[in-house]
Amino acid sequence: MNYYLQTLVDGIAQGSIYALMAIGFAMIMGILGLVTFTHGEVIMIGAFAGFYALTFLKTGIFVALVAGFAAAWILGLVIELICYRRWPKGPDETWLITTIGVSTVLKSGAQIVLGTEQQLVPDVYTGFWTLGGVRILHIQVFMLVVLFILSAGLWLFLKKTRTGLELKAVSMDKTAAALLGVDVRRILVIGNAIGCALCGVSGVLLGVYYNSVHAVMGGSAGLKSFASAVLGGLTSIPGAAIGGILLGIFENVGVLFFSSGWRDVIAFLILIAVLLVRPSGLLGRKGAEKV
Amino acid sequence: MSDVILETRALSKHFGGLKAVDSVDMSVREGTIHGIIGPNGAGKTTFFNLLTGLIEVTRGAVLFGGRDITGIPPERVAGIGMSRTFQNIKLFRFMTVLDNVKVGFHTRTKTGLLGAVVRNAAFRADETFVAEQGLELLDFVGLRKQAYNLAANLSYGTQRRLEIARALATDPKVLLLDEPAAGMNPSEKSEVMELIRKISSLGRTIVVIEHDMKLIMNLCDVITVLNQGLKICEGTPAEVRNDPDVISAYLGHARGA
Repeated sequence: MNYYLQTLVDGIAQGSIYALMAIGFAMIMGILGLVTFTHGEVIMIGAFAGFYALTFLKTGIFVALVAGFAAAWILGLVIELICYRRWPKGPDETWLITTIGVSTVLKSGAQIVLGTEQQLVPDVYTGFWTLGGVRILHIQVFMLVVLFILSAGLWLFLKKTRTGLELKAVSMDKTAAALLGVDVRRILVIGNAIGCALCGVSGVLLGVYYNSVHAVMGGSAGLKSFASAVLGGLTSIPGAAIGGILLGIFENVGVLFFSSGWRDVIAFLILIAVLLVRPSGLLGRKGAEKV
Repeated sequence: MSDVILETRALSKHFGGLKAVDSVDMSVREGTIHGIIGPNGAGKTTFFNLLTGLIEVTRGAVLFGGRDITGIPPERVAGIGMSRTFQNIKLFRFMTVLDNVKVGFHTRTKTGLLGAVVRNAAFRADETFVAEQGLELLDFVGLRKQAYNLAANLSYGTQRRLEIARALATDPKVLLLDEPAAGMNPSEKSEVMELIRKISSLGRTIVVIEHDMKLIMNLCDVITVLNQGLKICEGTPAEVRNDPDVISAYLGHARGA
């Protein structure tokens, strides 16, 4: 029994990282109305920013999270400039292709600049509690708290601010929003930056939780965030959070029954299963998606 | 006689060889209700899209209050005092009715992100202003009771009324209505007609595209008739009703005529 409870705890903890990246993904998708491919690389850059803060600057985890947030935010601004702003006239799919290009450049560039070998990330919060035979790491609780604070912040931002309202408006109908005087370009920049920044934070947590960062970690991370978002309903932010946690649990249960080699396969299987059974996801809005 | 507020000069939109809007001259006088009618595919909605900068003008000019606004980006249309509704309703479906209207107030409030974060006095004043004005506006169109419902859950006719309210939130001098009564039953239609009259009586200029002849004839001061992208007639409802070109556009040519 403890064995299963332990799996559940580990799954939720891991899922909290996926949830964070999926929220970022859902945010960007909602604003752009398109799937983008730079996602995994944004997570990777965030992870490295956190890693360098922890190792070279010897900062604490909080500064590392801020570093990941800031680096990914800036990268988000750059991506917007290169991938979206320069191509206003082309068909929507242009953005899809430009993000594939930038993703490749980032991945290869990171291997040249940051090296191809795995880097060891120092431990943060090594302690744990034992509750009825189930071990709960301090870092696991910490990750959940980070997820909670950031989602609450995002929720307040969307609910209480004018810009938040405009973000929602743009994600539902760009034309109507523009004709009401909403500066769609500005909203796109902000929404994209926020989405990227959340991914940056998830990257830092990913590095800290697994004690490693490497230049090609974005591939699998991007897939996980996509699978989580699809599971939750693509552009639904609460859906993405739930989808991420569920994916974490499924993965750990899967590993329990098969082996750890199956970890990434499970994300793919879930992706396929959701698209077959319920393409609009758990909290998706039927007929509202542009994808 | 009142001044011309919205004017087009030889306004044209060509899609390849298709002349969707072809050299249309139209003058809308301030304070009037100006109707645009024409058979399906006459270019009415394309004409609205040209006015609001949603598509590029091929040739000609749009003047608003005497100022050339040809090719203005959609984001700036509300700022100069023009707002519109859409034939295929374009509400923010998963927002509340009140929030839909609130987005429209964007052009009228100034506090930015910083104000929202620190929640200073100016921000709170703006928020109160928007909430009060929003509810008042919903009252005006008869939607106050549904203020906190999702827009997607409203009935079709109610959605059209909400779209009008949202357009009014930008405080437009000219309101463009694209088939505001489409798909409505007779009682809903007469309600919309009343609403349009009410908006007009408050001094706003209205340009309305509509298929329902009874509605347009009763409502409009001036009617412009488009057919295959060309303006074929303009005048009072009585003049338009008896124009032979209009009759043939709608009913076809009489044999031997």
